[in-house]
Amino acid sequence: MLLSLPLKHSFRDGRLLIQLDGPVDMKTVPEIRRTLLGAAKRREVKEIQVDFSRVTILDTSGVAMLVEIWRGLARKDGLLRLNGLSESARRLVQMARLDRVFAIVDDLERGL
Amino acid sequence: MGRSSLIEVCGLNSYYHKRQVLFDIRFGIQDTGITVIMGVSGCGKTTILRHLIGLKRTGPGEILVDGRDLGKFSEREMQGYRRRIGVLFQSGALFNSMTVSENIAVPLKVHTRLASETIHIMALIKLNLLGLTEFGGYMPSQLSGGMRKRAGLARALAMDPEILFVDEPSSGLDPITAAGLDRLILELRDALGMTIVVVTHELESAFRIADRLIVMDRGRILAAGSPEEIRASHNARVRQFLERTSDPRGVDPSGYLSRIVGSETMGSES
Repeated sequence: MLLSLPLKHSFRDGRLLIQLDGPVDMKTVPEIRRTLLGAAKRREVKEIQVDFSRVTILDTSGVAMLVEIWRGLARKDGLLRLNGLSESARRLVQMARLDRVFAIVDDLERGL
Repeated sequence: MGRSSLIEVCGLNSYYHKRQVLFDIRFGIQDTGITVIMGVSGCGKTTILRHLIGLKRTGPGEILVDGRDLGKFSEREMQGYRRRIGVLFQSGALFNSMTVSENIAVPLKVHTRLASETIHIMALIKLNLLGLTEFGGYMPSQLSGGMRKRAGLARALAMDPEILFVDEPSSGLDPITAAGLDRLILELRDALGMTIVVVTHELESAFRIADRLIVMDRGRILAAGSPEEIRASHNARVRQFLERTSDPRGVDPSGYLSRIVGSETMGSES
């Protein structure tokens, strides 16, 4: 099994597509982090695309988790793409000056 | 239709020993925006703040949070409420034996199950937000007054609070540093949509940041409204405060006279 949490996802050609749902905050981040970091470390995973369109809250712990996933992927020249960020989530990422680091896209590849 | 209040203060009275210091205080703190409580030293504004953050207990029904009575919160509910709020105390209230980064990490280590690396990155994000990226490894004693305030603010923001309470942000700061701190508070409102309550006696700072102003005098609300409404107030005490007319003795003449000539005599004269 690619993910330890029952997150909606698909995997094809080294690209893992994940849809997060609900709050990504200090309560939920420990489990989501474990799952996504585990996936980022797998040799066959070259890119992770995360769909935030169903995420209700993204707080700083969620942004910090994304930094960790980004680092894990960057070590093997992998890529992290974020899609569907709400206006407030975008602002948080911008305030952390991480909009220059993460690849933020408006359209995620379909396939979930 | 007006916006609903996140916190509703409804008839708050407060005492230190037997002395009443707040009298029937009523106002609402709306979701998002900056409410400034201002007034001269000793007017009761910090006492209101102490009630709002749960450091001084209220009587039943005096403060409602999301419609629930703060005075009836159990210890567990109070802990939950305190996790939703951030407080920047006048002194900054940093642990002197810890670096700035360690100070920011304290509430995250105590209240969450987050991994230490996640906490480390969160502390870096807060340091960047407050312009302190280079100073995470410094001890509080190595920082200037303005930097200590910003470090205190970074720690107050550690848990991504819904509501931020700030006590006298400008006190002890030069005007340029104080204006910088005000700008940061405005950025937090605009970028994060945060609800912020500031207590201050600094007029310039109050009018620079307030969406809503509450003017206090001798334990009572003298006036409340938008900055424009307060500026246009004809109330003599409000004008005295706005025009900085000095009241060197700071005494209520009627209180003095009743003491010196006796309240019965005063009563018979009126």
